[in-house]
Amino acid sequence: MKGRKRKIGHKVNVLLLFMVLVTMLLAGGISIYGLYSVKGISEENGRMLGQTAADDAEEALEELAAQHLQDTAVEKAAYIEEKYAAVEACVRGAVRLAEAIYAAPETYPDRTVALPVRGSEKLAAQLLWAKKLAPDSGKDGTGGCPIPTEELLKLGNTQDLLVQYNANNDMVSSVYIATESGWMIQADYIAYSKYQGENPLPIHYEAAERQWYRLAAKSAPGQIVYTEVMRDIHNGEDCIVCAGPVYHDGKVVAVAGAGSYLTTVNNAVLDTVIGQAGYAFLVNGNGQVMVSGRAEGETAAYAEQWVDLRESGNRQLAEAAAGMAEGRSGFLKLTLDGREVYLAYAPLRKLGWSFAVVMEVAEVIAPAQESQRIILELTEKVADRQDEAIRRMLLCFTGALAAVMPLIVLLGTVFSRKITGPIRRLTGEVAKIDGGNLDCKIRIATGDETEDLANAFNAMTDQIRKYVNHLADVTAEKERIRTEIQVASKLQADMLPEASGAFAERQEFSLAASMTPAKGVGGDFYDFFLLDEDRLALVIADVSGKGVPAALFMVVSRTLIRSHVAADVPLEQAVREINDNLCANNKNDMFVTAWIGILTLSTGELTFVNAGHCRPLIRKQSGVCSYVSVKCGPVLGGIEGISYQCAKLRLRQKETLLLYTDGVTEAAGTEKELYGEGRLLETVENSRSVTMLAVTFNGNGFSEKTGEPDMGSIREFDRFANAVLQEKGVSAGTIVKLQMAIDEILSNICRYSGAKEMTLGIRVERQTVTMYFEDDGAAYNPLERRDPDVKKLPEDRPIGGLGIYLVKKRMDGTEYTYKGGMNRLTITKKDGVETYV
Amino acid sequence: MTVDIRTEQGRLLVTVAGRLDTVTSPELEKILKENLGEAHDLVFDFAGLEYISSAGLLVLLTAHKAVKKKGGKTIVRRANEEVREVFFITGFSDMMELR
Repeated sequence: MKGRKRKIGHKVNVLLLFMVLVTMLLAGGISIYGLYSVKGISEENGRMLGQTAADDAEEALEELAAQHLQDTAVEKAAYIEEKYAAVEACVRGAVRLAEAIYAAPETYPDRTVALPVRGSEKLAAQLLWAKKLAPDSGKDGTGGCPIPTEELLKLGNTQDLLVQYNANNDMVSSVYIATESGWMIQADYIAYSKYQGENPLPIHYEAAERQWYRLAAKSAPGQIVYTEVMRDIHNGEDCIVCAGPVYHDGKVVAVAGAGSYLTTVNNAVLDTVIGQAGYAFLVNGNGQVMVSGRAEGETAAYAEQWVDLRESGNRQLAEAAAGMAEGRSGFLKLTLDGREVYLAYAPLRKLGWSFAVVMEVAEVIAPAQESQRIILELTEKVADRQDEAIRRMLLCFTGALAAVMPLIVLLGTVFSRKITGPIRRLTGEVAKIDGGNLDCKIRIATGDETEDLANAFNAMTDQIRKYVNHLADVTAEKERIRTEIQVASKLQADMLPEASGAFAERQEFSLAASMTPAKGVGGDFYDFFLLDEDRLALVIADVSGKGVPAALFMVVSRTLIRSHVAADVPLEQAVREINDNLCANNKNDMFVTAWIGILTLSTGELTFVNAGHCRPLIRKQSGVCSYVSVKCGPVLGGIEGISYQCAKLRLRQKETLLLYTDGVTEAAGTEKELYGEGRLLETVENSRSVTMLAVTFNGNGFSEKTGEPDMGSIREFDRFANAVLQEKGVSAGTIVKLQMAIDEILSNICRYSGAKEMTLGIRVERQTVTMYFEDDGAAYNPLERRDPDVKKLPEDRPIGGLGIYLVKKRMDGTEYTYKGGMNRLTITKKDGVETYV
Repeated sequence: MTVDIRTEQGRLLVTVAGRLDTVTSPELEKILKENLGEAHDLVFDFAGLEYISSAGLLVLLTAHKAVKKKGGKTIVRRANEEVREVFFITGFSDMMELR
């Protein structure tokens, strides 16, 4: 009881704890989940903000860089163009003057041009000529000094202008005019370079073979051309020549040119520094890098080994180079030498060149990345603070849980006590009922289910009490009936004669019987009684139905059978009367199956009527069992006024007749089946019926032998008789006489009777031997045969009749009867008495 | 039953032992028929014969008749009381010489 109380309280506690824990854990979990969500969002926001800011800044920076780079490119291009505009002006001046001289030579005086001064580094106009003008193209290849032509003398007027141009323009290194005829007037600072070795004359200058001359000679009047960057013929420096044709009468007669060293341009380019790693380069109309801030890499200038950028493997670079060559300006982002760079370019239209500026992207967007880094750093810090907040919250939550737990346990205990209190009281009350006190009433007024339970218990107790009382009554009644049935059963059993020890003084038969009704009383019964000294009545019967009615009907039946079967009444008549008596007043339509027989003890003859009963069994001396199969009459108590027929059979010595009620039939199998004694008993015992009556016919004092009537079996009968008689102590002489009688009588039966069976019976009593011979052949009394006339000689009288005559003469008595289809010859012989002497 | 046949001086000597009854008679009858032949007289030695039945008597009668036809006679000797009694009862003792 105590354990159960604790259990319920424990359950309440656990339930409460469980619920509170679940609620708190749920709330805590949701809170923490919320906090983590907020943290995640804020982190994501920070990251996005940083990214956006960086992107925006990058965009702005890129824009600024583009602007700056383009401005730079345009500015530098303009600067270089301006420089070359001055050079161009020189060339135009020289052309104009030369054309004017050619147009009106007479208006100009003759002026000689001096030869270059050997070793001079002073600015001076110098005369040079082509080889074709040399008077003697001698062995040394210089020839002599040609005679100045009028053309040269007139053109000599340009020498002052040429010198002036050179002096006033820092871009110009030399200014000259070369004629179609081979003359050349040149103003520069390098007169020393015009001589080779000790040659007294300056080197020939083949102006017509030079690029600037050829380009200009093909040009229209007034057009100015530029050469590619080339090595100066005199001092080897990179230079570019600006030239223009001199027309006279529609033909080119001379070309004016101005050589310009690239040093100036170089400086402009190389000085262009953008940011930390920015640089510039100059591209001509053929896509070749002329000058570059880079000494190597994709955009370096490789003099004499020009590379056309338009054919570069770097597609972006090639496209940009194409744009440059076409004279466009532009801005793009590309990869150069493996680095992300911005590239801006602007055209130098007159020169057909392009000025390009390069700046590294990383350098441009560095500030933007820096700001993104800072923003992300700040975001991290915020996240750390949030983590700290969550940790604090978890701590608070755990503390609260620990604080609440004992409170819940306390509350749970209080509640469970409240709930289990009434149940404990109820248990106590019920325990009283358990002790057997059904009058005890449970009084609990809690107003809840416990009170309902108590009321239910009370109702149940009432019901149990009623049932117990009722059960006691019923049991008492049943016990009374059972006792009465027991008494009745005993009475019924006592009514039947006790088989064991009955008629102990009678040697002729022995009896065995059993009757155990299945349920107290029943309708099975057996009976036996002597009608007179020689006749025994045997009865087995089975009343329809069970129990008391059957038992009562059995008593009636038995009484009727006892009173009607009598010595002086034929059995069939007795049975008919019994049936009529049973039919009268049989309102319950009860009936009885019965087998009633009368055994004549002296002969073993059995007369019987079977009124619907199962067939009895006969166990032969040999152990063979067979049914007594005779047509049945109707059951007793069934149809009034009906007649019955008797049947007869002979019981031989040691044969047993077994009567039983139904049940064996089914179990026993076919007729004439071999049964051992054990097998028969087993069959009977295992059958449903347990009512049996067995009578064993011990014979009428005769030793009997039955056999087939043939001559061969006579010896067996003889031996049988000899054995019986010797055993009984009959004298040998008498035995011989009896053997002779047997021989005579049996041989007669074999020869003449036509019997199927013959029996020899022997009895020795008070020194008298009685023998009977029985056969089922034709009725014939041998004693009636006339005796042979022994007075006559045997040979003179009819033969035959000798055997029976001998028997008659030698035995003490002979008797013949014919009864029940049997011839019976009985002979007697007193032992030790000579009958015939 | 055992039968011994001997012929001496025109006499057939038949020695029968055991029982001469319904079962054994036919055998004796057969032996006699075969051996009777030229014998003038018939001598039965019944010293070993236990008893004789009517069937045995009939065999003797038949044999006797055959001997008598030739003018001979039948002699039964050494028969026991039992057999003698049968002979006397049936009148066979008148017909045969009992010794």
